[in-house]
Amino acid sequence: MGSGSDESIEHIETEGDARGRGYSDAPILITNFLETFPNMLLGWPVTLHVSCHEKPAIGHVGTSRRGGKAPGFYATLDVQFKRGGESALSKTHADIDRADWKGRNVTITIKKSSMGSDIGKKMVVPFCWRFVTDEATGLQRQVSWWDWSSTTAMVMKEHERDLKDVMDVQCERKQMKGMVFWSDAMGITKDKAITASEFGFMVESDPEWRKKVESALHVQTHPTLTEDTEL
Amino acid sequence: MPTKKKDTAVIADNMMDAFLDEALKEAEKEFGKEKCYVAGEHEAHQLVIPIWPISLRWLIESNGWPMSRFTTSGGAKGSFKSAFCFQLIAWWLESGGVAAHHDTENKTSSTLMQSIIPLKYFDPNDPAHHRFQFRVATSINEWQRMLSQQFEVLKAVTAKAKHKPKFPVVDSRLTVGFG
Repeated sequence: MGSGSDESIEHIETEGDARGRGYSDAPILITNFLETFPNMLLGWPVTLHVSCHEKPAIGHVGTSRRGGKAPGFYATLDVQFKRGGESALSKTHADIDRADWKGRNVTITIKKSSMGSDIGKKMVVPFCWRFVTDEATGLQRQVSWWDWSSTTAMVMKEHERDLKDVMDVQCERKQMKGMVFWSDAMGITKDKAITASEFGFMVESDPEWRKKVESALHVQTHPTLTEDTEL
Repeated sequence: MPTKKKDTAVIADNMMDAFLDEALKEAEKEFGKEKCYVAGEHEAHQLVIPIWPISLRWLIESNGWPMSRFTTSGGAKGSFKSAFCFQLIAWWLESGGVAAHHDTENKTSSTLMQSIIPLKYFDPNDPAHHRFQFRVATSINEWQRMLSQQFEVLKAVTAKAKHKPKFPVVDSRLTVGFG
């Protein structure tokens, strides 16, 4: 959450070298700012999202962030990212390596939430990329995407007991395709099983299925900001 | 005919109603309607920006990402938290909002950013491109000043317009790393 403070930078600019040992003023600057700024957002259509790099804490027990506990303490949502985990695309922690695209499994965990009930909920989302030829330049450029829909299918499978009154969710893992899904309720037979991404996307694209699944998975509905919203 | 006991109860109720109405009215006048309201209105104040994936909705137990709030993500280097930050920005922009990305360590990968956020927001010929801005801060104090300044400008511009903007203004600040 930033490099040095003005004071430490000024020392380098004037003296040419960094200050030696001494208590860093960075954490207190971040803490003092964060204990005030989030309250200033009250009533404004603004979200402040901060991404924090974590490193091993002193003694290698847990991790620490710049600003210490302040970012997590003042946040409505604190989301943790970690490489690895089992996704629909890859069973192991190994990299996802397909013919024309690649990916990595990322485990996302709710470290703190002032919106939901269950701290510690986690899921694995593949982050994928491939290269395409840019029509304007003729050069290769990267296209990346989070495969949220495949994770939707996996979440549905994990919570099939909650979904028992909504639909059946059946799946198996194939060597090359990863997890494939089918569902009698959705009219998808086992011999026509589709990929996790396709299955998740199909549910997400159908307003009726989406409504039923989200209700069974306890997704709360809050008012959304639109052009007609009075603030 | 009402009994004396009932009359007393009615008077007490009326006094309580008058007190509650007056207290709320005065509080709204002094502190603002966005800060003082009946508890039943609290839900209406918890606006969100819609997010598409059911999986992410399940994770945060909400149909959208909270507004008027501070949120954070953390992880070791290479844990794709920057990629998530760009995903949030892409959703904000595509829902009609604006975003400012604050790079506090001069490390942002243009390749990664442009591979997730639609290219029109980087095209100077596209009218949408001004809705996504970039700030590079060289110190902690500077990103704090930049953030505060943006917020002050927002307040000044909306004061002139007499209305708060009816679109999501998203301020997304990225830290690629810190030591």
